[in-house]
Amino acid sequence: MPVGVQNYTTHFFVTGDPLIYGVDVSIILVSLAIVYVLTRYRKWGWLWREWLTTVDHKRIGIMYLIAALLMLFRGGVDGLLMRTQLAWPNMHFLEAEHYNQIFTTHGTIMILFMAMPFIFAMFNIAVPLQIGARDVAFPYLNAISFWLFFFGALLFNHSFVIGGSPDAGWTSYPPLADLPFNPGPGENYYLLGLQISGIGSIATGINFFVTILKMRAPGMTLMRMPLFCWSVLAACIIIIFAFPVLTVALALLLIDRIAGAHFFTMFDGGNPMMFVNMFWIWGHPEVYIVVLPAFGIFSEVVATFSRKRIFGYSSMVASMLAIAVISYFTWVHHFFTMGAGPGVNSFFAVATMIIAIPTGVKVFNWLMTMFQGRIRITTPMLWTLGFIPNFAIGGATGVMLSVAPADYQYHNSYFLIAHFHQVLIGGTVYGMLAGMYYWWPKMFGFKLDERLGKWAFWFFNIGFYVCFLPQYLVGFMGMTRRVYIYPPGLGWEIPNLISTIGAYLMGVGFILIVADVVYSIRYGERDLTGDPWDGRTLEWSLSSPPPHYNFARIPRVDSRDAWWEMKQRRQRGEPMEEPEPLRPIHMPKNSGVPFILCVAFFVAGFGFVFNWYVFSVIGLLTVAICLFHRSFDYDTDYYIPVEELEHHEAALGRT
Amino acid sequence: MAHTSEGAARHAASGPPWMHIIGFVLSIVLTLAALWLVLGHAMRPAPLFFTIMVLAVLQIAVQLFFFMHITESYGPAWHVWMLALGVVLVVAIVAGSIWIMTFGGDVAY
Amino acid sequence: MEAVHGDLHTAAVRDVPLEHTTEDGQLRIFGFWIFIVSDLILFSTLFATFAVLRTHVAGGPGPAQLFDVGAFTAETLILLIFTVVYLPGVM
Ligand code: HEM
Ligand SMILES: [Cu+2]
Repeated sequence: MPVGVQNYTTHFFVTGDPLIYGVDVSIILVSLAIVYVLTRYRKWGWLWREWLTTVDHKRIGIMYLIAALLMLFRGGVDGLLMRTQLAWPNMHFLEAEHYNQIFTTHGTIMILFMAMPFIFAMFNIAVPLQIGARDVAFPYLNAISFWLFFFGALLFNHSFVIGGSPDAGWTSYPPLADLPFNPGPGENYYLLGLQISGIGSIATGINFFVTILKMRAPGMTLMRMPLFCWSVLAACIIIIFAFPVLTVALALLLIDRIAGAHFFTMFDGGNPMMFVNMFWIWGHPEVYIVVLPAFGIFSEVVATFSRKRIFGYSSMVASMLAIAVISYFTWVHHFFTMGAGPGVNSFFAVATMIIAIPTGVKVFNWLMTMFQGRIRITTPMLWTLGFIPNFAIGGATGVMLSVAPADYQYHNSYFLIAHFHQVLIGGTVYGMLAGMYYWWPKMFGFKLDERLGKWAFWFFNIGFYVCFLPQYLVGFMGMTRRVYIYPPGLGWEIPNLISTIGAYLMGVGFILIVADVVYSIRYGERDLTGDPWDGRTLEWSLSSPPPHYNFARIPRVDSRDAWWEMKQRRQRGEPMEEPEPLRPIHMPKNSGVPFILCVAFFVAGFGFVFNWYVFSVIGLLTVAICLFHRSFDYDTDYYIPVEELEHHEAALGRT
Repeated sequence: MAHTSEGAARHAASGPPWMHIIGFVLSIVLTLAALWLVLGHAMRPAPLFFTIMVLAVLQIAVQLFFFMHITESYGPAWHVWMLALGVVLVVAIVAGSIWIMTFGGDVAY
Repeated sequence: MEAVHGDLHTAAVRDVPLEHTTEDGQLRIFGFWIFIVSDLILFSTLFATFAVLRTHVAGGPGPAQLFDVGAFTAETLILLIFTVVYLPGVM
């Protein structure tokens, strides 16, 4: 092989690590398998028509869900690799550099490519159905959002086998992330992957904000909205205000790296702490973006499975809106140790403590909802019950961290690691899994098996405490985050070993969830009524899965828990209103352009990663062409005629 | 129900679009005033900075009212609330960053 | 019952400017405003960076040397004039 080519390939493809060769092989095998299956069963057309070009929020939601679960898997494997390395002193399982890459990709994937798509999955699946709408405000933009996320994540994940992974942490602080200390494409992957998916996130925030405020069914005032919709509204407000800051931070760091600017460099007037400042202006609100929708889901689940109205509805709304605003005034607690001075640190310490108050209010409301309710312990309810103690502990340790002088001790120790896993896993992941189990029958028409689901929960929940409680302890003993090896004799061995065991228990929990899905596809209880949980909100008034136009007739709402009230009325034998005659339904047309547009973003991003600007130019030109095309495309929608509607509704057994 | 009487009136009225012409003139005047103040060193730095800021805010108001029709909407004016919250957070970001980053003897501004 | 704001399904469309007369138009205008709000934050972050790093020129040229007064004045005026170029069309 000519030297040039060889040189090139060894730099382009990551070589030398058996783990990575293993991944190479499995990627190739899986890709071949997918291509084979699609070709063998002639499914390419189906894939394109039904999924890649869809603008239906339900399908987009399902794609988000699949992607989130895949990323949960990859991030989880990263986590287990790290825990294996840390199980015992002086382990030689991972090299230092490899360890750095793994904790970086773990954190980035879990927040940006697992938690975000998971909440977006829930937005898409539930919001339009809960407010009685036929789709989101901008279905085409919704498809673009999904594909931007998808190709951003795809780009980021390429780093593992092509060019090398980023290794400066999920926070990507300069100067470590700047060119002199971090040559090679790894950090570029991080910057471009996040930038591309971040554009999609802003669009989603705007889309659902508009959807919720403008597309509610007649009679559904804001204060009659299901709490999940309120939580999405609050999360969208934060997205709209926080994500642009990340966009700027990433863009400036990229300019530093590829154009030799000095925003955040060590020398020539740069100030690395300015990046840290901007990162957390986004970063703290971001943690509330991912946890508020979980709060919303818990509220739905608690009410449904206690067969009661949610307790303290208006205080729930008020506390979510308060969190949305206050979360914007706490960001410095992530870098108290920078030493901005007593004035700054006290202000942000107090603001941080204040945010614990509305959170506490919510916990009491959930408990009061269960009080004297007729509780059914189903899998979604189990995840909700598991969440409450988790969040109590996570909130308490958060308040400990927010005490600025004390934080000089806790900062960047395993205590911090335990805190944020407690809130992110115990809050967001539990919430999303509760939501997944809760809305699964609505999406797919069958329930997930309860027995396997409960096994999965218990493995995961017990594993969680076994994994993270020792980390608080070992944090107090002085173990800092992001160390890949430690000597014996510090008393860290046993807590670390226990922690690793817990991590594997959580791994078992995850496998059981996957097993549950596989098992239930075949044997799961079919949902023929559309209302398997005896639900309270409008999505349960539809068949499972709902028809593509959702509501043949837009429902009229005159109270909270609209579907529950309708059922009560029917039970009392009150006369039902004559159903209105069907009318043609206005629907958006499918389009392949969002997909192509985002492939173009991917190509452009790839060009920036490797400084191959030809790709960037081609990619960005294609983006421009796609946007232009959309501006002059007037053939974007159609009407479903009444006969077809009647036909559909009859097939679903509804008139 | 529709909070758009003003907008509707504007559209209904025929004749020269006075609103736009007034807005245009105002925006030019505000711009040139700022330019003149700075280039002519008309004031000391602190009051100059303050005056420029006031002119900028006026300019924003002109754009919002005369060209972007901020008052026109169907239903509640949620966008005005969001803009207002946005302004609060803009202050938080800009003033906050300056406050936070002015540490360790580094004079940021 | 009092009419519900934010509900487009029953939108009785009268007395509203042309671009507000369709459901689609209303959604887009509202979405556009929210997009503007996000842009507000984006630019304020750029301003914040400028404010913080303004004096960090490391001995290089400062604003006085870099900013081309003639060019940016012209750009600003062109930009402002663009807000009224459609006027001859409607007059
Ligand atoms: C009661 C509310 C909370 C309080 C008072 C609180 C407080 C804090 C403080 C002070 C820190 C910084 C500690 C340090 O770096 O030394 C921190 C870190 C963190 N918190 Fe929280 N927190 C709360 C809730 C949450 C929630 C709900 C989430 C996510 C769902 C979360 C996620 C995180 C993350 C990811 C970090 C660390 C990020 C990193 O450095 O990599 N926190 N928290
Ligand atoms: Cu925080």
